[in-house]
Amino acid sequence: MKLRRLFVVAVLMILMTIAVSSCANSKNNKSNKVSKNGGHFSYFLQEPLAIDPINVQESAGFEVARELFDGLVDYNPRNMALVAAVAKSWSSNPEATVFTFHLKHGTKFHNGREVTAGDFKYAWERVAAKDSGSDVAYHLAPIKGFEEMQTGKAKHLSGLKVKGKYTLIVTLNYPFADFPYILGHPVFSPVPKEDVEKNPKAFAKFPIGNGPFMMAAPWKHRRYIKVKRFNKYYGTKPLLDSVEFRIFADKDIGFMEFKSGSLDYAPIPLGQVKATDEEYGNNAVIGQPLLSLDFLGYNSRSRPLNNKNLRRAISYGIDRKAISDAIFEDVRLPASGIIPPPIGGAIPPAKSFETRFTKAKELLKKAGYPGGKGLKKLKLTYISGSDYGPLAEAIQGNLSKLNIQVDIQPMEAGAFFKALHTGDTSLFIVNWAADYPTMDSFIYPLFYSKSEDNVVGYRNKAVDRLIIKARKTLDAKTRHKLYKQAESDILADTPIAPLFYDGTAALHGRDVRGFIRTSLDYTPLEQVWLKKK
Amino acid sequence: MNYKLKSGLVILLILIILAALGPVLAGKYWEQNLKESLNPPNSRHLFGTDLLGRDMLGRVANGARSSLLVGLLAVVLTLTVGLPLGALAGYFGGRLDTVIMRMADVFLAFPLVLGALLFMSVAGAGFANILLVLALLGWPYIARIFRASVLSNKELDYVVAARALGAGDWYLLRRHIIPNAIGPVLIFALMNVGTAIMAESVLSFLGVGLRLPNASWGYLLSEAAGLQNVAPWLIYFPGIALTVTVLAFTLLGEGLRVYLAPKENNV
Amino acid sequence: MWLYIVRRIAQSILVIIGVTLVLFALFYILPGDPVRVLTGNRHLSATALANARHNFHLDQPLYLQYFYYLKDLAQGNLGESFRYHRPVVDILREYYPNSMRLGLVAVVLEAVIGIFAGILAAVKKSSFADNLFIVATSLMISIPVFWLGMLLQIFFGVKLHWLPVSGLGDGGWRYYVLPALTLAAVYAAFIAQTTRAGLVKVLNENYIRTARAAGLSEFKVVGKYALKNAMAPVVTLLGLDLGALMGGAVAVEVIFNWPGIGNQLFLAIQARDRPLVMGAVLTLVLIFIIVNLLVDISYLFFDPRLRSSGYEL
Repeated sequence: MKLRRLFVVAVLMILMTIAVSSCANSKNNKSNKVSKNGGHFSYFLQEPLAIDPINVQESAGFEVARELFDGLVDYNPRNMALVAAVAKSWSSNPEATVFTFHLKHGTKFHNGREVTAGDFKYAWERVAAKDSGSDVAYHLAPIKGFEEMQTGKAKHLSGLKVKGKYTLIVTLNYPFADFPYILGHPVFSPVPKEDVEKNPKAFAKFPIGNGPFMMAAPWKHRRYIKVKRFNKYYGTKPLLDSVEFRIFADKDIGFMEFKSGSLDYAPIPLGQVKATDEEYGNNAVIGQPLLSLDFLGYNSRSRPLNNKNLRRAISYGIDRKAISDAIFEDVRLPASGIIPPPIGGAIPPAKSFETRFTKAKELLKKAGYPGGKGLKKLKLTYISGSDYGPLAEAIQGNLSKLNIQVDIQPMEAGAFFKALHTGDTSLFIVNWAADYPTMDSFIYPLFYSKSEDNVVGYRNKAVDRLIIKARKTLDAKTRHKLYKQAESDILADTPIAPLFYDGTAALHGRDVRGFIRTSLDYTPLEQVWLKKK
Repeated sequence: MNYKLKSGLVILLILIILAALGPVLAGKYWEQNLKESLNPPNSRHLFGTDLLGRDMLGRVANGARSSLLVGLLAVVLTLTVGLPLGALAGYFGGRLDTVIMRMADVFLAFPLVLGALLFMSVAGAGFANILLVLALLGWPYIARIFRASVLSNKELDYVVAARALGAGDWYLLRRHIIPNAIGPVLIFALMNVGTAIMAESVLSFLGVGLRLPNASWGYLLSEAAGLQNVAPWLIYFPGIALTVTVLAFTLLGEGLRVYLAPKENNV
Repeated sequence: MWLYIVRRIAQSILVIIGVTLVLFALFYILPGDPVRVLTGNRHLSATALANARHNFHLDQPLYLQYFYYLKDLAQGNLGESFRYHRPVVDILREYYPNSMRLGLVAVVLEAVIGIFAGILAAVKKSSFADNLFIVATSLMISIPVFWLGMLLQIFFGVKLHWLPVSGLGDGGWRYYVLPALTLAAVYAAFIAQTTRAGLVKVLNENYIRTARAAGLSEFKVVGKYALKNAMAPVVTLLGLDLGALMGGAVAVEVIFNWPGIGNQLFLAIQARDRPLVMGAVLTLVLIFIIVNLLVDISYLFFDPRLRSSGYEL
């Protein structure tokens, strides 16, 4: 019980916007005595790469898979705290290297069979296997024996032990206090071996899971995914009868469709947020921060950006507020830190841009380039096809006022990462979206010196020690303090300039109730219901 | 001169003047003003402003240069490749002809936009690349027409007679065959300027054509793609400019064809 | 003539092999890594990267990859998509019918509109309507197709809310209207011009004058005699466009989010999904070649004088 509390009551997060929408919802609950049951929901989706857990990756796949599957744990949609799902409880050894999960009895797959610990083992090993073809096997990297499975040396994950039908013991390669959080990702969902092996291809189109909704028809690629309520679901059953995920090429097209009245939810494309807010008001969820950060990366390894004052000058010279207002319609929030507010705490009030601009000029002078003199043109890259074009141009415009000249060059993904690696660029814009709602998933991957995602090549031994210490710390409060400490130490070194925290821009129909967007940008559809006309 | 030729010439003249005057007309088209983002057309900005508050009149005027240059240079490059190959194939025939024309077949098998999309994804967006790709996909058309034209001229009596009198291949090609055969190809090429401009705009629209600082009309349209609802003026003006330009070359080509073949004048 | 057809087919096979070679060469110099594109900004461990490459056979020398590809191709196997982990044939089978249906609707539209307008203009030659026709068709031909699509979306979708602007929805006819109109517009203008030109020419011929003098109604003259003789080039044009629409509709399919092959191909190119790109392009090229062949052969039937001239068509 004590250990459980450590994890469950762990994170204290305050989301003003969510609080507002939850108030509105509770009011609705009281005033409506009519049945909330029934109805069909039409949901905007972009073509997922996969909805089978083995390959679930981008948010579209995530949104569908989390309705079809339940893992050991889930997140509280309002504050992203860890809550029980198929597991009823869990505990850790004091070193945070061995975790024991106790499963609920009688939870069912959509085929009617009970979900057992063995199904988790089967599912995880299916992902970790050498020839799995999974693009997301890396999620399992903390588990002991993962590398051996990837290289084909082992057939089973040595760090995974099943005890009876309802107990799963996981041994990790290293201490990782936040480990239970990563199990909320759909890639860790159980799958029924009998259905997968009968026909893996059919399973990819018609996955049989254990979540609140089940497939109603095979996935029609680029058209729709239809699901219906799973009546033997162990948890709170969904109120809706069915959901159709209608697939669109992009948000613009989906939004036009929403306006024609045939969708119950659609994201609002950039450029139309403010107008939509005025038109739809209550039905829009706008500017609620997400666990996603846009930042400007510096190539601090070589001249001229190995000069910290120059890096700081650039950061101070970017008018985040004005840019967000013009190109992001204030959906994205100007960022001053690395960990986004839903888990990192409120953003401190920023100084006016005039003050910051003066500071930028001072820093530029201190850096040895008074008035930008002597500084050659800097190359700014981003991945072509992303929506960073206007942002890159706006930064170029901002920096030209400091007399820093910037040449913009979008690159294909492969070339882009190669350029980061070889240092063939000075500045680059990237986005980092958390896989799991933890501070660790912003600090460790991006800034731990040996992490493969450390795109800026940041190396700081003291920070490394802090991160490892945090990962060993089971007490949530102390752990969060350590991560915040690491964050401020990193910011002092300025290996990146945080630009924006992403925000929601979602719209739902007038009859939709119980609709929220979580900070991982999905809607828990099991809570949504429709007001009868 | 027929009216198609006349109107084509007039429009083209205006366009060229516009393109030349671009820098003057365009003003500081690159200057951002985030506070004036997406203003509809007004007295200060006749074509409105874009997302970063830049003057659209200036950007459209400036786009004329990129679009026209790509169209003209691409056709010149296509001719440079296609004419010699077509002449060689047509005049010498035999194995050389087979090799050249089979190569042409391979490139002709790609529909223009599709092929260009493929090649541009490899080469990367950019001014020089788009010229090269358009030439690569365009030369077989030129070569085919020119080859046929050379072939028919080769057998004309006076050419045969000149050869019998001992005239060399090079001399014959240069003095008699090429000057006679080149007419239809040039008309075709002129009409192709419009096609090239159109192709460039599609590619830029799909994100693999030109890139900054060469903001052609197609590029401007790609920027506007998500903003149909809020800022339709971003779509209207570059599209109108594009249509008028292509129209000029269509009229010019058709007019010239009719002009050079007066028999069909009444059709 | 059969010799000609056999020769053309043999030639087409050579072209197809040439196309595979060009495509393979393209992917070899392509600055991009399908594995990287798949994993986005997540850097994988060396083992994971090697595994992914192995799964895609990217760890073998290129000539071997090409050899295996040709071998599979000969057996009708187009491989498995890097991105979707599904057989390319399955993906093509899903999207192709949608493109074909759209193409057919567009061709029918352009035939009806084009021929009708062309007849009208030819019959009322040199009238105000005819002049308007000439201006309108020239303008039509000059409009960039993707821009026309955007305009139609703005007016009929966003402003008037008359028609859906994207996708295939439940497959109802309303979804076809805007993309088919967009695709049909340019060719309708071409066909109208060709019909008019053909008719004007035919209407001046002696036998038509005779028919008129014999007291046949103008409707009968045009409908029964003149039209038949003016149609050959129009039919050819329609055939060629059908072939082109199967491959040239990338931009329109992208704009209208059409679940067709052009749209899919565009995404596959961006994702460096070699098997899918190769499969889609090869199929498109094949159709393009077959249609061209049929058109050429149909010439032989229309105009027997050409039959003796071999393959120099």
